[in-house]
Amino acid sequence: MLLEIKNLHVEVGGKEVLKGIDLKVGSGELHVIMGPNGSGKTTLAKAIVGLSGVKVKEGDILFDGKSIINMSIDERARMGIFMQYQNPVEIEGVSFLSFLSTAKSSMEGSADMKKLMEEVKKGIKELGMSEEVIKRPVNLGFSGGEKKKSEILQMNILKPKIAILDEPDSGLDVDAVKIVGREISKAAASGTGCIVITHYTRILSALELKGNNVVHVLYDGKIVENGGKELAEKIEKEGYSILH
Amino acid sequence: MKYIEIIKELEKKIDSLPQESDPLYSKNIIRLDVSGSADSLKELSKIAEKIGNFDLISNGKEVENNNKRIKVYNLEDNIDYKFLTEDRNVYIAKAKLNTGKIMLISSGKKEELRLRLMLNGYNQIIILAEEGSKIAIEEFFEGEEAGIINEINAKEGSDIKIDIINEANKSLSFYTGAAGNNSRIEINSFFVGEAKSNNKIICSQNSSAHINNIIVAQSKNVDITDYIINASQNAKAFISARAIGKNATIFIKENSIIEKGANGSEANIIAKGINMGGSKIEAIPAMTTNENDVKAAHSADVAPLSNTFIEYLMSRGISPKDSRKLLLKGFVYENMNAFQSKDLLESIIDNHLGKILGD
Ligand SMILES: Nc1ncnc2c1ncn2[C@@H]1O[C@H](COP(=O)(O)OP(=O)(O)OP(=O)(O)O)[C@@H](O)[C@H]1O
Ligand SMILES: [Mg+2]
Repeated sequence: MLLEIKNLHVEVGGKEVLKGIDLKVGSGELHVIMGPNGSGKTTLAKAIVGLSGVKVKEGDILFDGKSIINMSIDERARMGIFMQYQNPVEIEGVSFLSFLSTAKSSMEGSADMKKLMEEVKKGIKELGMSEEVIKRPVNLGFSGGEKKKSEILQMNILKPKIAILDEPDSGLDVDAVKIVGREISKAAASGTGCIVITHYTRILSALELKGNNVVHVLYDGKIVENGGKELAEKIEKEGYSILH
Repeated sequence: MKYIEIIKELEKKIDSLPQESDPLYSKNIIRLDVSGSADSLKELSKIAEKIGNFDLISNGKEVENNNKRIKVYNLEDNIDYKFLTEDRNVYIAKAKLNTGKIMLISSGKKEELRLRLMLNGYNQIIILAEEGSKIAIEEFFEGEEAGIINEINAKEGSDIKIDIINEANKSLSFYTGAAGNNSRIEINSFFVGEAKSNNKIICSQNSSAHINNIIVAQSKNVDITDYIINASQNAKAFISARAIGKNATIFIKENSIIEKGANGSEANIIAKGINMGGSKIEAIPAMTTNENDVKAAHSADVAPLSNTFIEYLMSRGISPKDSRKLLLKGFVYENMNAFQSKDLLESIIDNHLGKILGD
């Protein structure tokens, strides 16, 4: 199994936010996590990536069968773990291109600038972004939608084994949701295990969800329900009150 | 402080320069006069006569007109000085100055002069840009100690740009500039050693002054004070200082004065610092505005590197050290970009950041 989360308990700021999560994601699988605000979705993503402020109190996260909870953020990233941030930071003075080339060479030991340039240009076109963003500082002055797309572009360039996408659809216009959904499906088709955190079903129509254990509902730090696409639709129609 | 007082203060400093009797002071003047235009020669001769003996290096056009005391060298005679291009109105030269030299640099009307100076010890440079001319100078401070006084005079419609890459262990520098109508003066400085620096520029009508500082200091004291005085209508002042310190004490005191009558003026000050641990960094912007119809803004901020930013970069596979380096370079990027030799400066900064981050 690519990613296996076992009985994960996590504390944030002294408060238990995740209260025993179990989740398995294989290569090329597409999973969706839904859940009300504050239920712990972003916290779960942060725990997988290893961001500070998120303390694992119990349980384990296995990647390719190996525990990663004591590994640093960059080690995990180099193993192939990627997160699309709900609110990515804006970095002054660092151009998107130099950032990407540093990331790429950190991942692969070196970066072939010519090849990278081609990949970036292709990625930008597919995402319907403007080419001048690569010269601009990372995320600086990007619109909400451009920020989401810039994160997806990074995923496409870095080709992770697992990608956790924290609300890739919020703040996007109808067309952009379709584009982002398509890119996530493409990543999954090429073997990336994807976990999509979302509040809405509209991105689901662009995702190829297979099976009946791919939509997970996180509620108060626990996964309380698993199902297929229909579970997401039910939640959208009736809200989380059905869980009480 | 009124600009008159500032000028007086500066004059005092110039008066207190090493005197003829001082062994430090060899009384040599090296002069670079591109066109030998009558005006600039006259001005420079006046200053030169006040000071005493000097050697002249010129392209030789009008040297006969000069004072008898002038010793004339052909360009080729001076080892460290040569023209690199014979472009009609563009002159590029390189010179190396050791302690005690006074260099007079002037460009004739509408000419362009590019110059690279390696400076060692204590020197004085007087720069005069004739109307509509352009002077771009790179000053490299080398060695154990460096001290420099630069007097900058930009006549109407001219443009003077000075980049200072200061790698001296210890340095003292004073730059004073007067920007004539419609002219432009830009001073970019990079400091890495113990440094005390003072820039003062007075702007006339429609002129602009730009001061850019980058400080990368480890276990050093750096004390920087800059003034730009908007003395007349539509003058523009821009100051940006960025300091990175580790176990260092850094003061960046950036001042703008807008005089009465300087309506339509603009002034913008940015003073920022990143404390990489154990440092005292003070970023102090100050604005004095004696006119109503002006645009003035300033911002200051000193903080450690943001952990959120470091972690964002790490989550893309970049090591903690490279993440910090990328952020620090980003922090000084815009200021670095103002330098003519930005690639060279980047590699110098890279090297010093590496030391701060524990290479
Ligand atoms: N630094 C912190 N200190 C204390 N509590 C925190 C901290 N960070 C997050 N929390 C709490 O952890 C809980 C889970 O937050 P999280 O961001 O994971 O929610 P979420 O499910 O992603 O919500 P949303 O849908 O709004 O993005 C919330 O109750 C939040 O207030
Ligand atoms: Mg969230």
